Amino acid sequence: MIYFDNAATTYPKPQAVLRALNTAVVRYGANPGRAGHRLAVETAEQVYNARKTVAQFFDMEPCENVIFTKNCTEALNIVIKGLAKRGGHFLCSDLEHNAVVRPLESLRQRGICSWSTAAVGETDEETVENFRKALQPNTVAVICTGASNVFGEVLPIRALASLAHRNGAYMVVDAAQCAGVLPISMRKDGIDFLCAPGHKGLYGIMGTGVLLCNCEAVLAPLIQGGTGVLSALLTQPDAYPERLESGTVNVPGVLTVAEGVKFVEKKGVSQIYKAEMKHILHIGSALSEMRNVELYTDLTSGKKAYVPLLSFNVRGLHSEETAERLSKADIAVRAGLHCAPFAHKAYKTQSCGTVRICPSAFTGQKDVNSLLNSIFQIAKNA
Amino acid sequence: MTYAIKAKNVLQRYGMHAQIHKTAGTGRNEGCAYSVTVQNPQLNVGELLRREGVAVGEMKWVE
Repeated sequence: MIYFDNAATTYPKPQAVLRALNTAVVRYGANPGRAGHRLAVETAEQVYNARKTVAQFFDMEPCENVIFTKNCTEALNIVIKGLAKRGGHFLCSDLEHNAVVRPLESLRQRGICSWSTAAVGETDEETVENFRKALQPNTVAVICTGASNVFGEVLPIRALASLAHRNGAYMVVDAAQCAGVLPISMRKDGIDFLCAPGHKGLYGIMGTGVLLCNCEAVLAPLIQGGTGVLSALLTQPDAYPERLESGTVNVPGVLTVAEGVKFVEKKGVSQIYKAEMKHILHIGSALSEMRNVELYTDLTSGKKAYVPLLSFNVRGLHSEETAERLSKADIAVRAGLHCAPFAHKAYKTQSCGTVRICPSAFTGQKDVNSLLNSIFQIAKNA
Repeated sequence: MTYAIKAKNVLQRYGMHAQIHKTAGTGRNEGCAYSVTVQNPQLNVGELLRREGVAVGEMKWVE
């Protein structure tokens, strides 16, 4: 299998992550934060250390404001619904994933909040200006993807955070496609809430995500239940992380996320970006020369920054058909709308979707060559 | 448990041996809690923990 579906989840995982998974199951088998016996405390200490690793990686403290979730979508739901107040307004970009727009639409349909989008422009300045015009006096938060999960363009997070703060709104970032490939400093970038999957660029296993809270706002919990502390009370504790982590934490998953973050730190975020971008630039350059191929990610314009992924189509074929043909060559890509219909609407690709290619730290030149040869054959015969 | 571990880490950083215990209940009848014991504290533990961002519910001195 030649795997280019790393924007959905990275595969394979680093050996150290697999070892951490095994260690978690074999050695740290007790429920953390419930009992007081040795193994429960040791397991809880491992989870605490994982919080420290994640907090440090995203330049945020204190580490108890790192909330472990089951994925990025859950983290976004916690923030959006936790900040929602009657009559409030949310502003997001027109490239957002359904993980953002569906919770917003749900709030709108229930008559709680309104929401609107600002278009991502040709330049960062244009994007910031579009957001500025779309802000309302009742805007609770600006929610923005760090990078489009379909086309790869990076959004000007720091400038948008500054804009949001000047208008009394929180800055929420969906880091699904940029965590692990772009440097993120919550402190310097002014991010109030960061949501990230643990299983993509952070190389943890699937079923993991993180929410980092970097402001004074105390989010209303999405779910209520056992937290292991203050159990005589009928209400959730006020303090993070327990407030937002009802029920047993996914210890094996959490420990793989921490190990995945260490893997990324050891390799270096900038080195990972550089290596993956080299592949994407090569692929983009080759696709732009192929007859019958339409490339949507303009990596060479210099107007914008991109994360290492791109979208294309073979003319005359639905994106799913192209993906199916690549699958027959044992090449994994993702086609369709990528759960981001707004992004496809913005790029006018909603009718047939696109084929998305995303390398990882494990992608080699041989993989790239095989991919290009297969696309060339498909395009030639289309 | 999170804050008990945080407290333990702070105390260890200041050279004190600390242990975490499950506590039957606090004086405020709020249910399950965790406590940290430290032997022969070298510093004012309560003040130290508060300074390091650990909320201290109760303190007890025992032989």
